[in-house]
Amino acid sequence: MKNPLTKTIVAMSRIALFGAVMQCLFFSLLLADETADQPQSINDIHLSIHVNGKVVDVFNQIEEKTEFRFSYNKTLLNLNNSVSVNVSEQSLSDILLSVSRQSDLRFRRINESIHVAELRRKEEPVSEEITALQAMTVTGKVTSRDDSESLPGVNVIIGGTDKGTVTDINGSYSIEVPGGTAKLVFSSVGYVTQEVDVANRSIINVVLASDVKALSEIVVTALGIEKDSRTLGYATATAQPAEFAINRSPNVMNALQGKMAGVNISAMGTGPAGTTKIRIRGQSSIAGQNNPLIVINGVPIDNTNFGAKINSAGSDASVGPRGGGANADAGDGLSSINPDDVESITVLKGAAAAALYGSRAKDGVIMVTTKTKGDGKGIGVTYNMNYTSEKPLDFTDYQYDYGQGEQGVRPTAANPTSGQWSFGEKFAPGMTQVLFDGVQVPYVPVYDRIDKFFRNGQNFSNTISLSSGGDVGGFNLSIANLTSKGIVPNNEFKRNTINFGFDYNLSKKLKITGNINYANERNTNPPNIADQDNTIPVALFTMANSMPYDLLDEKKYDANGNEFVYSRFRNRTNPYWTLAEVKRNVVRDRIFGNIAAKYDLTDWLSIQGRLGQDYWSRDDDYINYPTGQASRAVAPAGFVNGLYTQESRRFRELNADFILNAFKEFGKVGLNLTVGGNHMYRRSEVNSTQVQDFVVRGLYTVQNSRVKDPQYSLSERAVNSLYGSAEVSYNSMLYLTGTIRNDWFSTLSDENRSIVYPSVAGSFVFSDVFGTKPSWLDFGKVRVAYAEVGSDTDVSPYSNLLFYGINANLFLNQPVGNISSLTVPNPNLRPMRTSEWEVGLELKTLNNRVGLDVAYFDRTTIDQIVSAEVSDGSGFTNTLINSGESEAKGVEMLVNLVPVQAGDFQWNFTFNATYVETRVNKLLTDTPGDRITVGTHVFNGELRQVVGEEMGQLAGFGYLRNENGEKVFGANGLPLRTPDLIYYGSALPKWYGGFNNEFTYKKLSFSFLIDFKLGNKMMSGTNFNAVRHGLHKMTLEGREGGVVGEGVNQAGEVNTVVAPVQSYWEIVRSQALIEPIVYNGGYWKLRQITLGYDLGSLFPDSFFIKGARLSFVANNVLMLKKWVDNIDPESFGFNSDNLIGLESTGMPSTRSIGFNLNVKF
Amino acid sequence: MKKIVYYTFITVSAWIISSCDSGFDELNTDKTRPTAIDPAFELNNAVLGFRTYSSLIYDMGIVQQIISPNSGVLTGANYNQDNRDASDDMWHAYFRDVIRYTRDVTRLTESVPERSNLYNMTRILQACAFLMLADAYGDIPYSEGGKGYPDGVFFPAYDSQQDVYTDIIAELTAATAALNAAGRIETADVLYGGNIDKWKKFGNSLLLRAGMRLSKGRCYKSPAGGAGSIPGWCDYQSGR
Repeated sequence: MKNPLTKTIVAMSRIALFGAVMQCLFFSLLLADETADQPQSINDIHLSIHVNGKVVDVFNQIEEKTEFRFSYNKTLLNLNNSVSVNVSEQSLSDILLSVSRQSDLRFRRINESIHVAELRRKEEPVSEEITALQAMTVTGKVTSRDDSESLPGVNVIIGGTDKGTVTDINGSYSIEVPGGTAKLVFSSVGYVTQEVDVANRSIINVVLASDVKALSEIVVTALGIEKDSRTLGYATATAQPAEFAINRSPNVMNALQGKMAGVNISAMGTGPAGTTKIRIRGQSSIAGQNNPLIVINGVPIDNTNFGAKINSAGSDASVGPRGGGANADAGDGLSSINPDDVESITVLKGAAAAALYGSRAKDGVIMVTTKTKGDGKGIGVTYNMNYTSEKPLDFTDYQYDYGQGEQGVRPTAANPTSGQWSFGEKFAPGMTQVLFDGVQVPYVPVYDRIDKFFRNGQNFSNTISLSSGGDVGGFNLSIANLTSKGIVPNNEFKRNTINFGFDYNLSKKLKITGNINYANERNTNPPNIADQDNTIPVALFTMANSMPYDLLDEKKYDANGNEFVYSRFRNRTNPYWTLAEVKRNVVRDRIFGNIAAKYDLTDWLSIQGRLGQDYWSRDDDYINYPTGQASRAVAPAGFVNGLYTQESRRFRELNADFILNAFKEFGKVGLNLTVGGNHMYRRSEVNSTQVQDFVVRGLYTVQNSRVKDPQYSLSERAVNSLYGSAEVSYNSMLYLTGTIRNDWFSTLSDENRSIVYPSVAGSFVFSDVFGTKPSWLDFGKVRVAYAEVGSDTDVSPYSNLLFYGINANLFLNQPVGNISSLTVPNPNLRPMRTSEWEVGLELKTLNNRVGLDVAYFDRTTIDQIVSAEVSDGSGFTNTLINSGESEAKGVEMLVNLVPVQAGDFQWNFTFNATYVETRVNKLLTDTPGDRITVGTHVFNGELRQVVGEEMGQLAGFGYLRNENGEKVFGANGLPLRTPDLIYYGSALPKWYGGFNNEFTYKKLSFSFLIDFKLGNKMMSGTNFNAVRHGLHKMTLEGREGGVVGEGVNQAGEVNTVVAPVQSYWEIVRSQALIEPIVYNGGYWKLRQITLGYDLGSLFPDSFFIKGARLSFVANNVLMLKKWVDNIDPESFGFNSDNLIGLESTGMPSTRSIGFNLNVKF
Repeated sequence: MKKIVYYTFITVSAWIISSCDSGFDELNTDKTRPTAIDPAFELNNAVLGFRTYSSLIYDMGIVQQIISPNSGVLTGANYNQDNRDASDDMWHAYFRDVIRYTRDVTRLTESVPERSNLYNMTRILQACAFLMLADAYGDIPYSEGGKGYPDGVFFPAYDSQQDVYTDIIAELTAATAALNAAGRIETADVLYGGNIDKWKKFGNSLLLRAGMRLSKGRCYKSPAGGAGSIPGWCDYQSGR
């Protein structure tokens, strides 16, 4: 209802309906008031009728001769049937009976009206009479719940009859009901039908709630063109502010998790302002980018990802930090958007939907429309406040029977180095342990590591917006700030945004729209995740289970101010030391927006020009390794060790486009032609200096260093495009759209840079075929679409040549040259090509109380740019070739139900689910089993693409088994591993979706969302460490006396060799035998609970507050089901598809609880 | 009015179509990285590529066993098992950091008489790297090794260890002999500053080492038949 166009359409249809109803539907009823007296019974009235013609002629004669009026629905009945009535002084009852026989109509007289309806099958001809009840008149007014304005044209029907009236232009009605026990049914297009008991009241005022689902939806399609959803031959999904602005997240898309069919959203477990990973209909690229394009008001913006462990070959859309030690998720391009500025989010899912965006839309498009005008005249002020508190969740279920130590021995002397091992002794009362420099403490379990280290996070945001709207235009200006404190005590994200949108009709023909968004984002100390050094979660999750945390904090420094060595595994930096020493500051200033002018040349031809830009500068400085870190080698004499990086990036993306649009109707045939062109230019620069070892301790600057490594790089690319689209419609029922686009890529060679791709889509609204729609079918449509898209996203600029470089520092006063890449360049790369089929069905039945939208899609991506592994013996590791082929097939569906609708109470139920299976058909060859490794686990295991298998195969060594499936053990009693890596299955979820239930009662609404992701395998690094360090409960086996593995030895005899317990479980590391830590990565979660109350009615009309809504929100409420031990399967930190399923400890997930207050002045 | 708009549109479209990829070649030219450098600087990188890498010997693991419980990644040595991490280190490092550069230098200097000394110095260093690889791994990609760019040999054939040694000896002999103190001295060289005597000494020392690899196998079976470059040494040439 927020969309002005939607609103116009609702208003128009309401008025049109009002007129139509006035004319025909209840024609006679409106005239019936003329007589006040009760007429006689139809058995007592005798008259003569002579008609040899139409039924309607009989009615006319009766109406002339009596005071009765016939009432009927002209659209439902056929009154042109011929009848023959020739009677003299017959009772009216008999006359009607005769007509009934001849025309299959039934008649019922109530008071002064004769209601005509169709004769039901097998029914005897009917002419009946109901004794007039104690008639009474009911009056009242119908208003809209949204804006409290009166509603004209609302049908008011007496329940159980077809008698009724409509409200007048002021929303008022007056109706005579047969008695005080009757029911009135109020219905209107776009509103939820309401039934009210008369209950002897003579004044009944009714408030109707809008029914968004029933509306003819307006969808924002490619290039920002708005279309009626019935014309679309492809699937889209749209989210309204209620779905993302109330129960919200700092990154706007996170709030939509589980709510959109076909869209897989994962919030990374990486702290506030972390990346949002969005995958639409699976994954198409074998080893590159699968991020959808982000478009704001029709123009793309940048979504460069600074996530943890980017590891994506051959793409410049992801930027990782330099040097080791820095492994934080420093955000993406979506984090600059304030949810309060967004009017709607539409997802274009398939290639056909996105065809007009061409190459960049291979993975779908997220279309964000921001607010450009207010609702009413005058300046409206809205204030929104949102506060949530985030509690870190502890899913660890470790063993607390045996404490710190190795080989069954607890630490008993100063400076123990078993701080990360829990293979010590069994806890017993009175035992002590000696830690650090000789502190003696009780040897007891220390529980609740998560609560002891982390704090509760907080998000607090405020938005004030001013808006105005009128006939000639409007504007929306908002100022907002967000402060988000992460659960790591030194982590904070602050965002200030200003958004200005406007929309102005300079003349009747010229319209200007524009929007500009400024965001200032400061991310302080985004936490490192999923790696060894400086990574709080990894070290904390593997900390020995009897380590006292206050002591760990107190003893973090040794006598020289360096990290105190508490573990022989020095890469597990003491988390308190990390907290105190590892710092990072990310500051981004960003301004993006576009301005468009549209000129109507004639009433059927318009031209639009548009210019959009996204510019940001981003300063990032981080301490890779602080001075004194235990895992690092000491610096040469005179220096202290350490590694520090300072970088500054500037990015600009420019889009200029024009669109010429013609729309004309020729009778029943409509023609809509669009021709346009786009120029995209992107430039990215980075100045970065990394320095090693310092002169003055504790001063992290590039000047104060021993070895300096400055770098500058510049990357530019451009895509020029021309496109056209033609839509032919017939009778607003059948639509056929074809598009064609030609892209020219600067990154590809002369011969390969131009590529043309077509799309065709059809839509057929079959429910409109019937002259009279079957009563059970409100809306029905089938869609078919086919599209091709090409993409150069996996080709970086300049990948046609091999470049040299000169090392930053001279060696013995001589330059050292390098070859800048281990990838052999390929100047003949072609853009990859995606072709996609989709068919879909939309149905609405039972007064729009049941809605269904199903789509089947089959997407094949060929000529994928594979970073093929080559023999190291060639001197190189990879080369880029066009070879890969993958296919994603699936079904997505959305079901809307209104199971209960009674008076003020309504229950809306929405279910969406997606099934998608992606297979690799070809890599270098199409031989099944042919493979490439795309990602390796921080600890052990790999992610591979394998021909003939589902995408994203987890690979690692498993237990060696004999032909009977028994494990085989070596002479030392340790399990043997398979000769080569084996596959454990795909890490991509096959099923995902959610169930949303929304209950509204008067001003109160309550909703909860359950979502799920299923069918994915996960190699859990957290459990890998928990097993090797003796924390996992499975390592309790064999603590006393060692493990005798169940199985056989190499000779085939039963294994009887006792293996030491620690060595036995350390096989996950020593032999990379990871089978014990491969899990089902699926989950079911109670994702969201929202309880809202409309406070608006509490204030008198004259009060300065016009409306207010308070909502209590909770997010990530409850884990209903999971399979992986010790972690939330979602606390996964990698955005890259090359690392999917390779879990390594990320930040614990959090449950957020808070409120949202929205006040309108 | 209409006409103006149409003409404007046609002109604009024509302009756009004709210029849809104009300037792209220039745009796709990297302005910050060179496509050619003095190959002597690459030789320096190859020299720096000679470092110690964790080897197949597991010495660290064995030593550590004495001082601490030998577990985790170090069990490879303890239980005589293959730890993938350790065994491929040297292979990766020498092919990527040495051979990749020496092949590029020899490609660029082979037919440049002025850089003859650089060419032959590089051959000596390359022979040294191949010698170490053959020592560690046996059969290795040799004649085709390191030719990923620009030859596009992505899966080089393996040569037998014996053939590798034999050819290394030939290479060292030829390269050492071809060094010419009267030619251009490669002063940028970080190993010997381009000093021809030192490079000759290096080449001859390596020849001695390479010859020892064949002392039992080849020369014993095929007694001397001609004069070798080192007095008293059997004739490796006859072993062919």
